Amino acid sequence: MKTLLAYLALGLLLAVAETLLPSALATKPHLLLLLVMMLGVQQKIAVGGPAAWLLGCLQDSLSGTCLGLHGLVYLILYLSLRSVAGLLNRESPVLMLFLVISGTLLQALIMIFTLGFLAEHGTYWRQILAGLPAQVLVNLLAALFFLQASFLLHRARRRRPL
Amino acid sequence: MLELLRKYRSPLLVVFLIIFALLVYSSRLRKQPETTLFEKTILQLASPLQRGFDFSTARLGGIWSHYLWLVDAREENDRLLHENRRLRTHLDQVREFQLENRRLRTLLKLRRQLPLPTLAARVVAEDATSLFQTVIIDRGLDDGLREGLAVVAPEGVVGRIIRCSPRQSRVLLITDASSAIAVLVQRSRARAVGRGRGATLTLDFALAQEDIVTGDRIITSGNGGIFPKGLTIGTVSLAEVNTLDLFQTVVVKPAVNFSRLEEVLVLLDQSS
Repeated sequence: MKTLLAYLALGLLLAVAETLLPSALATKPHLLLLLVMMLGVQQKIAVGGPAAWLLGCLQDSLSGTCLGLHGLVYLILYLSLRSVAGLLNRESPVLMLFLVISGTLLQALIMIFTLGFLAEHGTYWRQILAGLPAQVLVNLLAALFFLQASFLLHRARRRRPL
Repeated sequence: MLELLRKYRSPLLVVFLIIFALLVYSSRLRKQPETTLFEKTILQLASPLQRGFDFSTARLGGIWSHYLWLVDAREENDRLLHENRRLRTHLDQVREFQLENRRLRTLLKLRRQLPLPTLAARVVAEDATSLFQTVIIDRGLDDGLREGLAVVAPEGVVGRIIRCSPRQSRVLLITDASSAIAVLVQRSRARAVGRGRGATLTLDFALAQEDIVTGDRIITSGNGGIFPKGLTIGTVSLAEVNTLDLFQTVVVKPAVNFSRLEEVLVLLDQSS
């Protein structure tokens, strides 16, 4: 439960950060998506599943979509990642970056499917596809930033005298 | 049963989660305009964070741009000063245009009221000496003007043209000592001759028994053939009757402020 709450608190911070990014930016990084991918690699279904769904709902609450859309998308994404998580080397940063690329693509596909088949939301698919290369790039940059930050944090911890 | 549930816990959880998520999404699709308790809670939680972030970034941004990042400040300051000067000049011009527009509208109104054809002119210069009361207007022979034509302003009579060159004319003001104009006291219809006295006029040949009091309005009588009847000359500022004199002393303050005269109308005769 504590882990779930911690993820939700972190998710809230990231979602707020997303809302504060200037709207002049054509493409904003999907910070919650990165968090969901981290969940997919690290957390079991009992915690990760509800957390992914709640993070999606959190994203929906702070954006203009219908509640549950991102919840469903993130949950499917999490489950997909979780199904292959056992085969991956979680310590490899390059693999994490690869996961970000494939996760972004997968999220776009699930989103198109969900919007197109469940809600019949017109031509969203065109916008999603048109913005996909930029979205992949931005998410990749954001992931690189977080990986670098976590690396520096680990190094600082190791240097601290006991 | 419990054994079975434990054995298939993960697949069952996955199925449950997906069905649950699908149900939530599809139910929300039907009730889109409503805000759920979950959404309200998230918005409530996010609000102070957003405000805090916004305030902090605004403050930090302010400190950065006002105190630290001053690389272009000098150039920008010079540019803004230059722009400020340019805009001030522009603003003065606009104000001047507004005032001119207002004056010209008044002049146009007068033009419609006058029985004769008129020509608008601009006062371009005043008399070189302070003794004579004349002004120069920017219209002349080329515009159909000639000596003797009357010049008026929206407030009243200005004077008459005494010199004409192809592009300029000199106007003798009614306040000049050499100017004489046949007038009427509007209220009592008393007749007299208004003669210039520098800044004012006096009424010559105003009989002592005529009813003239301070504040009376003086207008042109139409005699003399230069000024049409009924144009304002000014108001009586002093009216004195000496028992021994045949005529009374009457001082008239002209209606037109000649020191601020800028646009005038020249009354053309029908042949012009």
